[in-house]
Amino acid sequence: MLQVLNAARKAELHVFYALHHRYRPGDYETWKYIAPIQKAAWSRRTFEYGTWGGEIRSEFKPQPGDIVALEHWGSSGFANTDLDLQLKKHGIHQLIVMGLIAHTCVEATVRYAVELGYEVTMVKDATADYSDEEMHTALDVNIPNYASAIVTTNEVIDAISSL
Amino acid sequence: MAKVTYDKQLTALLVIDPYNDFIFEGANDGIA
Repeated sequence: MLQVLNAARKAELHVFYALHHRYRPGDYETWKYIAPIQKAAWSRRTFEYGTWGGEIRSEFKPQPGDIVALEHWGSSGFANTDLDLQLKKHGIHQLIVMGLIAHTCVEATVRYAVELGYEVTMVKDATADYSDEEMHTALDVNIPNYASAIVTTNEVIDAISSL
Repeated sequence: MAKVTYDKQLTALLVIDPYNDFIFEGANDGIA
């Protein structure tokens, strides 16, 4: 992931961040409906705001000029956020996607991006999952229906380094 | 799968959830 990020910065591509909601005390407590994935985030205090776990890993921290979209509450980085607006306002049509987790946020974001009309490249070795089965389902079964290309880190670096 | 060519002005890298909770071994692996 870091290699791709560095290559994108070197190529002067825009860098956008789609970040999951960071748990804060009181979250979900008054919701009438809550999805299993949100129940899990609640019980585990996933990405708890103000804690080390809820910080972006240091090498990946946004830099000046990067766009950090509003946090998403489910899996797609687009649902109930300003990600689509921000991309469109910056004239972006093609997305190179990487991050975590392959079968949840990454897959959901790829699917939603395509629904919205973006052309998506998935970097298959710049993601991860809890199991081989989940990784396989995301990268080999589901995402190929949506991404225009599924490439390796080296392949995408080669492609963008010549821009 | 078709080879994609990129237009610098139209292309962005989208980074999803690079949180410590996900990336460090032994961190909170809460599903998200």
